[in-house]
Formats: sequence, C-alpha cells, structure tokens
Amino acid sequence: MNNPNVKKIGQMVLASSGFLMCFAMWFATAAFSVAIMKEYGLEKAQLAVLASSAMWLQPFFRQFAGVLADRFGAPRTAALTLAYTGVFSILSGFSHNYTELFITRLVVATAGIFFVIGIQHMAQWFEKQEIGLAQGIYAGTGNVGAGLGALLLPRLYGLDYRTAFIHMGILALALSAIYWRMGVAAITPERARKARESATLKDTIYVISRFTAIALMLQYAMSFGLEIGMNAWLPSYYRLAFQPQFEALGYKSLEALAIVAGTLASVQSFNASLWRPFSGFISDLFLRKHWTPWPFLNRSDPLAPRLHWVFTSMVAATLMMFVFTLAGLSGNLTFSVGALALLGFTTAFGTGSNFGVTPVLFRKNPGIATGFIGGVSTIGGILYPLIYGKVANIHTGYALVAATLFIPFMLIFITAFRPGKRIEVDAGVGSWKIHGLQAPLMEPAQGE
Amino acid sequence: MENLKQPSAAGSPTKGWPTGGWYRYGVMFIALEAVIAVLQTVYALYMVLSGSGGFGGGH
Repeated sequence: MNNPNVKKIGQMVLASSGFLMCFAMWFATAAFSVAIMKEYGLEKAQLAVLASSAMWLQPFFRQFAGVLADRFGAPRTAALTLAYTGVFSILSGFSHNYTELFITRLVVATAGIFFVIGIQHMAQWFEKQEIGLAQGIYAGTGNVGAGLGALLLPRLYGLDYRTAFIHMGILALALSAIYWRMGVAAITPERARKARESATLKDTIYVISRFTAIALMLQYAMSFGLEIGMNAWLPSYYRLAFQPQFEALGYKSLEALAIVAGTLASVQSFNASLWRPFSGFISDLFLRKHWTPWPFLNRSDPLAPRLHWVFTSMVAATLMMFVFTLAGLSGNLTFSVGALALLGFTTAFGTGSNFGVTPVLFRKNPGIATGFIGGVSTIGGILYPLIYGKVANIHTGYALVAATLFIPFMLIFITAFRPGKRIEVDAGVGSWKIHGLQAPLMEPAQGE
Repeated sequence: MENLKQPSAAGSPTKGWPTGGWYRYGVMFIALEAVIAVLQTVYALYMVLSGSGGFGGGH
C-alpha cells in the first residue's frame, strides 16, 4: 500500500463511490415523481416545485462545502455529508405527509454538494499534468448516479419510493463510515496545510471576484447546469411533447410511461456523465500536443491548450442545443433521442474540460474555486427548465437558451481568457493587496 | 496591473510528462464508461423503436 499510484487510485475510488451515492440520492425524488404525484394528488405545478427544489440549496451550500473541504479536509467533510443525507433519506422513507416528505427530501438533495468535496479531494492528490483525466473519472463516475437512479429505481422498486429511500440512506451511512476510516486529505501534509491556511473569508471573496473564475463558472453553467436542468426537465418534456408517439408505441399506463420517460431522460445523463472522463483525457491531450485552435484566446500560457478545449466544448454544446430543438420540431422520437445522446456527449466535453483547468488555475484555493464554480453554476439547472416550460412551443426552449445565454457566456469567456503572455488569473474586482492577501494567485509556487 | 505580468498559476503543466502508472488504467476506464454510455443509448433507441412489447418495456 506504499505505492503512491495505489494510494491515488484508492482515494479516487473512495471519492467516486461517495459521489455516485450522493448523486443518486440527489435525483432519487425525480425518479419517483409519478408515484409521489399519485400518492399525494399533486398538481403539475407542485411537481415542478418538488423537482426544482433539488437545486435550491446548491448554490450556497456548495460554496460552503468548498471552504469546509479546504479547512477540514475532504474526507471529514465527505463523511459528514454522507451521514446527514443518509439519515434524512431514511427519515423521508417514514414521512407521514407531503410536507414532511418535501422537507426531508430538500435536505437529502443537498447531497449534490459532494461534487465540490470530491473535486477538492482529487486536486489534493493528482498533479497538474494528469488532473484532467483524474477529475473526469471522479466526476463522470459520480454523475452517472443520476442516470442509474432514473433507469434502475423504478424497475427495482416500482412505485414503492419509501423502501428505496430507506435502502439508499443505509448505503450512504455505510459509505460515510468507510470514507471517515480510509480517506486521506492530501498527497502530502504540506499540501493539506496550505489549503487549510488559505480557506479564509478574504480568500473566498477574492477568488469569486476574479473574471476568470466568473467565466469558468458561466461555462460550467452551460455544461453542468444544463446537465442537471435536463435531469429534472426531460422526463416531463418527453411525456408532454411525445405523448401521442408513446401511446402509439403502447406505453399507456402510469408505470410504463414513467419507465420509458426515465429511460429516455437517462440517455442525456449517461452520455453527459460517462463521456466526462474522455473529455478530461482530451484536455490532457490538448495540453500535451499544445493544440490552440482559437486565435482570439490566449495561446502562450502553459495552461492555454486546456482552455481551447473548454471553448471547443462551448461551441459544440451550443450547436447541439439548436439541433435538439430541430429534432423536437420534426416530431421524430428516434431523431430526438439520437440528438439527445449527442447533446449529452457535448455536455460531457464541457464538464470534463472545465475541471482540467479550474483546480490548476486556482491551485491555492481548490475548494473555494470549485465551490463557487460548481455551486453558482447550478442556478442554470433551476433557470433553464423554467425557460423550457415558459415558451409557447415546448421544443424551442433549447434554441432560446443557446441564443440568449450560451452565446453571451462564450463572449465573456473570450474576454476573460483573451490573448496575452499569461492568463490574467488575478484580474478582477480589486487587487490582491486591496483584498488584504499575502500573495496573488499567480504566485508560481502556490499549493505545490 | 503589475500582478498581471507575473507568471501564471499554471506553472509548467507539461513538466514531468508522461504521468504516473495509474493513467493507463484510467484510459481503459474511459473505454469501459464509453461502452456503457453507448449501450444505454442503443437500449433507449430500441425502446422507442420496438414499443412497449420489447424487453424492459414496462409490461
């Protein structure tokens, strides 16, 4: 066990397992939305509130989790998160009325903050030349928990969501104990100490006011924000937009509709999650080959090739949003599912490419940066479904989001990472001296 | 502005390439995950092409 590679893989397996569990718990309510709607006689609007509530606490709690991970180490923070969400998942299985169910599931949905903890954990163990693949494997494996939940839970438990919630809670508690026992905060005590010392309010305010952090956050909002928004929205979209096609295919009962809608929705989740490590690998490849195809982005910073892959992913995802709208307008279910798979694929480009950059650019404060970028970006997951649901033609929301939000996000990204000798990571509102810090983020030896 | 002229936080990312021995297993893992994603997509397409009478159609 003294082999550093074995230790690294061990910590990666631990973080990925914890994240998989947390992601499955996060979206388990959506997997049983049909059963819950039936039991409590919920209206469509109440169901929408229940679905969106999974995202409500993410923006704030993720930022908080990032600071805690830097300060107390990822293993302790992870074990605590698994423990309290596990307890509340069990409690939700014993709820007596809809209010109790709603409140307990709201707490369980905070399991999504685990993402930040695991990213911080991986950043403390892997080096900058291998971090793309490492973060990709961790986050990609974890993210698939949502798809697994949508695919398997209705098949394993039918409409019995209570038993499912209790079983998931028990599993989470077991993982919490394992994480506490086997987790190690960083590859060296020195690296853990540096993260601990930099987890202050001053550092937090400084990091979240950097233009590069804001640009990366917006890029993550159009990849991960899109992914989680789709997780919550797609089952409803397919039921509302393709009801006649489903009926013609023989999917008529509530249970059959839940299964087919869940399976189609999980196409996006599976592709967006499972291709994420591939995107991390491509990010590493861009770096190794020094690929910098976009003339309007920085080309001379050592990290520049990874940024070019990030931007490529933004272009691909934006194009696929238009294609997905076209597929919907065509009324062809097969075309729609094919386009959705490709949209998930390009979403994975975005999520995987971002975390080839963020933990390296903000090496000194990986938890704070990840908390901000991974946290605030989840607002996209709340906002996009609202837009999809508001437009007159249910298929056109994707193109509208791409045109009005994604294209401006791309322009902000180009501005933040404009050509120059180095990436201006310290550019933002107020200098590091004004913020009362000891050194800028650009300091070469930070976090090493 | 003087901060902006300093070296990047990224340092020299290519130094020390290639990466540790774990990396090749990571690449194999990508292939495994990609296969799962493709299989799941093919299964979803099968569900919409075969209808509720097909395997796993919910009946």
